[in-house]
Amino acid sequence: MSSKRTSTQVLSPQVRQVLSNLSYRLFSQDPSSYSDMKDSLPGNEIVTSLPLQMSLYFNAFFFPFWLTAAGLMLDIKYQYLADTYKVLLIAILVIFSVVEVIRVYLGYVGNLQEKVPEVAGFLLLTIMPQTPLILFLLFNENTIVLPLERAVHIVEAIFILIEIIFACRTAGAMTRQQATKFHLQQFVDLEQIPNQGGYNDYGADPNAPQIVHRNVPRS
Amino acid sequence: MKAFKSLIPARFLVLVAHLVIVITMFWSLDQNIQACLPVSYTTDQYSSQRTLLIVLLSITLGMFLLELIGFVGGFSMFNSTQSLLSIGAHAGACVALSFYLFDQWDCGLYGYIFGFCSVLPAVTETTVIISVAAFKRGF
Repeated sequence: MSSKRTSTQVLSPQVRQVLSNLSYRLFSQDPSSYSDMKDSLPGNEIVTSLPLQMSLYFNAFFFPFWLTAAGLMLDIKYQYLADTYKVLLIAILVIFSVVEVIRVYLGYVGNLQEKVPEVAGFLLLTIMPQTPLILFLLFNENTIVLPLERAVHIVEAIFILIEIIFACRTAGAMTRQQATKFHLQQFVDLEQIPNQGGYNDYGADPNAPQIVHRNVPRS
Repeated sequence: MKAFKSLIPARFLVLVAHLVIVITMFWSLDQNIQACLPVSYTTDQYSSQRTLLIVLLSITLGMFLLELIGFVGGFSMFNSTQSLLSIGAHAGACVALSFYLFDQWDCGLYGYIFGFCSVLPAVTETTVIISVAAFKRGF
C-alpha cells in the first residue's frame, strides 16, 4: 500500500521562506561575532589616526603663512625690542621653523605607514621645542605681541595641542598592536622547530640521539 | 579630478585667513573704533559702536565654529558646491576686511561684510550638516 503519510507541511514554501529569514535575522549571532572577531585581529586593525593625519595635513599648509606673518611682524617691531629679545626672537623663529618642517614630515609619514619610531620622534619633537616656544611667543609681553601675531600664534598653538593629544593615543595604540603581533608570532615560531629526518612529532627534543635504521641483510 | 583635490586645503586656508583677521580686529578694537567713527565723536557714540562691534565679532566667531565643525567633521568637506561658496564668501570677507582696516571704512559697513560673508556660508553649512546627519543625502 502506498503510504499516504508523507509529511504534509502545514505552511506553504513561501511562508516558510519568509519565516526562516525572519528567525535567521532575529536569532542568529554567530556570523556577526565571527566577523567582529576577525576585525579585531591585530593584522586587520588599522591604527592610523585620522584626526592626527588631518591636523598634520592642514598644519603643513598653514606653516608658510605662519612663518611669513611672524617674520614680517618681527621686521616691523625689531627696532623697538630690547637687545636680549632681538636675539631671542630671531633664534626662536629659526629653531621653530627648522623643527617644524622635520616634525610635520615625521608625523605625516609615521602616522600613514603606522611606524612607531617616527610617531615617537614626532611626539617628542612636538613636546620639547615646539610647545614651550609657541607658548613663549604667545604669552610673553616683552616681545611686543602684535595683534596679527597673536592671531597666528593662537592657530598654531591649537594645532600643536591637537597633535599632542592624538599623537599620544596613536603611539599607544600602535605600540600595543606591535606587542600583540610579536606575542602571536611566537606561537607561529613554535611550530617550526627543525627536525633531522625520521619522525615528525612536535614534542621531539631536537638534540636527542636519533635511531638510525640500517638494512641488515638476511643471512 | 585633480582640480578637486586642492579645494580642501584652499578652503581651510581661506577660513583660517578670515579667522586671523577677525581675531586681529578683536585685539585692536580701540584703534578700529576710533578709525571708523567720524573725526569728532562723543563717548556715547564710542561705547555704542564698541558694543555693536564686539557683538558682531563674537557672532562671527560663533559662525566660524559652526563652519569649522561642518568642514573638519567631514559633513561638507567633499561637497564641492559648499566648498566653493565658502571659499568665495570668506575670500571676499578677507579682502573687504583688509580694506576696512587699512582704508578706515565707516562703522556701518561692517554689518554688510558680516551678513554676506559670515552668515551666508554658515547658514548653507548648517543646511548641509542637517541634510547629511538627518536625511542622509549629499555626501
